[in-house]
Amino acid sequence: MPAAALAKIDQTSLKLALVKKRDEAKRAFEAAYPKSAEWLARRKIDLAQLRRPAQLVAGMSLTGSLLLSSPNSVSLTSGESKTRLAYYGFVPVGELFSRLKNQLATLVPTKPGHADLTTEAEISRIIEAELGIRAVPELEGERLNHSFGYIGKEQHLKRFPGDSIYLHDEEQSAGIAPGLGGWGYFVYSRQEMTDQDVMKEKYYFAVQTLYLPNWKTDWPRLVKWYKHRKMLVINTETGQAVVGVVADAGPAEWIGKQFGGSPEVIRDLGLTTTLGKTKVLLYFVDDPENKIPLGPVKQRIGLAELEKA
Amino acid sequence: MDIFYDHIILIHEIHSEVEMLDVSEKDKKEMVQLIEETIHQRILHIILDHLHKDHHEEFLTRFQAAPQDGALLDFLKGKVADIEERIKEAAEEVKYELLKELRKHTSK
Repeated sequence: MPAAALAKIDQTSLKLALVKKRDEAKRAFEAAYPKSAEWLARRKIDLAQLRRPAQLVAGMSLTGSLLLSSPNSVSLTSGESKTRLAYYGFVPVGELFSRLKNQLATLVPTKPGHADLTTEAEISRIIEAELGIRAVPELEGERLNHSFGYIGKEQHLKRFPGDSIYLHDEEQSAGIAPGLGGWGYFVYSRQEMTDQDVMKEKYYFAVQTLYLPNWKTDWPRLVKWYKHRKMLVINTETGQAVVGVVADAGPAEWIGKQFGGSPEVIRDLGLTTTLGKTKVLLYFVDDPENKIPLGPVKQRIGLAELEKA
Repeated sequence: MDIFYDHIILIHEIHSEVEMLDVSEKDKKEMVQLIEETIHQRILHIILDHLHKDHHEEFLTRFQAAPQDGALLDFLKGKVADIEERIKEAAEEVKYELLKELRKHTSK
């Protein structure tokens, strides 16, 4: 082809625009079909990878969809692959957890409570840079008594009248709470339950709203504000992160834990023992357009930071 | 590799557009890959939009195992009569968006 016929392009911005389009399509799919997205994630299948025959995908890990989707990719350890990953802002999941853990190590408080305001801002900055999620300890003037503390494992919650543990497709050994969650049923019948409702119960938090200083005087408003409020939890000992919603109140102060997590939250934070607890940060997710999907965070969401660079 | 819906979506015009860019072969391949992934994800999205949720898992399982299998289209047509038309429409829409993006960053 004659050189004159070739079109000059702004190559970097075009690539970024194409990556953005690809990621938007992925996020839209995950938001519309969280159950299918979870089905894929459980099998370590990247959505874009479904276009390859299964035998080519087997054995690969979900470390970066761009790398995995490239027909030129040879292995995760090749220099070229690492360069490309870095270029697009993706890092292997283990490295992501490690980076988050190391950066937060000196910033998190030594005991349950809050960091000082400057440190909180720095923690939020790190979370946004690493995970692409805007997470804050105080949102719209609301703040829990703790944004750092211990989380323990809760049971499943009843999602609708007649729900039983056998209708929950994961972590059945955790059992189901005999009473309702602090915000009642998620829906009023099994028929009206959506994929999003299923995900809300899978990834729920219990928070101590009952101990808020203004709870007794302002509870009608607070009940509404906290209902299914999206939050991000980070295991500060491992860097593992999960997005979920508030769906229960507790635990009681005397238990010595400040937060509770659904069986799936606890599993995806890497805490396996039933009676165990681990130190976590629990921040509100500032997501007015409801774009951040619920579930474990395994790579940075969006490319906001990359675009700013 | 062929996908069972390739003959419906016809993305050669985007390939041609990328071929005209003044970039290395490696970069062209990378861009085509990103474009194909975007189209692919949008097509899957539209398929699930029209397919009853009871059939989603079966479809994804079969697609994962053999994305080129023509029987997948028969399976979908058995559930959604006008699925070919829906796929074609979705492809046209995303192709338009991607071509617009390509041209926005291109100057002759």
